[in-house]
Amino acid sequence: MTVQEYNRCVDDHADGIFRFALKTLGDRDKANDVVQDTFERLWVKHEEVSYIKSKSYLFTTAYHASIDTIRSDKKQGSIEELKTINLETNNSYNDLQEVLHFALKKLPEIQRSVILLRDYEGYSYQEIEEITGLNESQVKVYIYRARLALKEFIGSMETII
Amino acid sequence: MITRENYEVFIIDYLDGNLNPGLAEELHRFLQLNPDLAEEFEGLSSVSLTPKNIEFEGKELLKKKSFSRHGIESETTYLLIAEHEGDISEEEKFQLSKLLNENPSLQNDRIIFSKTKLVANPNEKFEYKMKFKRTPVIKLKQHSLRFALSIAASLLIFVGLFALVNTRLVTNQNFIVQSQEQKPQKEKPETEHLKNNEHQEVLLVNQEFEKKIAEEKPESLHKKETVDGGDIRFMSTPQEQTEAPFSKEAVVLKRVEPIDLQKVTLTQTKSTIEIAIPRTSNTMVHHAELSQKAKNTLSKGSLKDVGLFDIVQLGVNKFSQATGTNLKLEGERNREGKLVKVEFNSKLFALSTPVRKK
Repeated sequence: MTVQEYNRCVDDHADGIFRFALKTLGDRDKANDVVQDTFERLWVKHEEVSYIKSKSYLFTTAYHASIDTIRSDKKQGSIEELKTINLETNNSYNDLQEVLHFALKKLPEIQRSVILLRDYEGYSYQEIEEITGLNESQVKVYIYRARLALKEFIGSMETII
Repeated sequence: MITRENYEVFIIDYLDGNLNPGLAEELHRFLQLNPDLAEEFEGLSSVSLTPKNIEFEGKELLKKKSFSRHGIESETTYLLIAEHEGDISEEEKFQLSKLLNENPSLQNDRIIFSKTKLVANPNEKFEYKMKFKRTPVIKLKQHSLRFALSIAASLLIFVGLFALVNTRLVTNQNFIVQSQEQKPQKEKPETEHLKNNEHQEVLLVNQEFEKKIAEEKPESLHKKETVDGGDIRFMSTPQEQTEAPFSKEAVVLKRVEPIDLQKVTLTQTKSTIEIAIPRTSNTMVHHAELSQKAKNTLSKGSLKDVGLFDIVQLGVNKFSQATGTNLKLEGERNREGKLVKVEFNSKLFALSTPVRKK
């Protein structure tokens, strides 16, 4: 990949990577770190990674960086979790997407990641397999379960709204 | 053959009913010959364990439901998700439509599933993209670099020479003005009164300007006042020079003093004419484009003292001025006036190098 192609990657994918990391981690600063880490890695490997494969490489790196961050946070004992629980009762929702994104926070991290890759980026099961390192069956299980959880959440919320 | 070493195997087989009649006969004979072992055999036949009726309670949990696909245990739910995911076969589609016909309330679930697609907020953008962008590094071979530097240096020398010659021409005009005024003084001292007349005329002109400005727009005086070191500057645009050389908007005047015409110098740039009238005896020439070195040299009327460095320095200054970039070329000289160090500063890079002695 040339420097120009690398810079084009920044223009084309930085926003997508950022949104993915932000929704997976739920923290803007950590999402910024993930994006930075991801592009640093791409730059180190830019001579080996082709431009065509760059998006997949970026999301793979961002996915693993996000999962590592979550695991590291779990070890340290996450304060954010407590905050989420406290916010739960005070939140009011203006639209369905807001409700869905709130429900997204409640999903297990891998379900959250795969559903984001599916919905935000429109990746196929096979592409998600490559990015996450899961097999097709696992990917489908996570997506179907996540979809069911979201449906149940908004199903119950619809009656409240 | 049954012996005291292997009799246990035959006894167990006999108890289990697995011993054939021939061997069973042989076993009986062996036990008759060995009464101690026959006693042991009698005890064994009465020992047996009967299983109690104990049931495992978690059997139902271990059982698999009739339907389970991709972690979904309801066929209807699975079909609805599969439809939403676009992962549904023709057969499954048919099955789903059948289920929907049988149970219309499923339409509600179908609608809710269709709403579970997450949509990214396009306004949520990454702010620091520019930080990650890289500047391409051009790899130059040594001879290419030398070639590029030679061209750049030649251009700077050319620009410097152009600036120098241009400035020299302008300053020569000043000398002509001055010398024309000086000549009659030397040849005809009696023309002193003429000079005084000119002096008076200039004073009158200045007084008229002052009056006009005071009458027509006194506030403009205050606003336009840009006086350099007590000199009086008359500025006009090229158009004004032909039509109205001293229009009220263009005149910048601080005060009027008697003018010594011998000390008046005229300089002309592309867009302005400046008249510099000193209060002291030293003639001052205001011209931003003249470097000090060039001025000194030109006053001597010779280019001998202008070195290559001075030309390049002038070229860099001219180039910097023309392009609006901040370029600076400076030299450090020793007591003898010889160049010992050269410094170059720009936005992109800066360098400093000693000058080699030949």
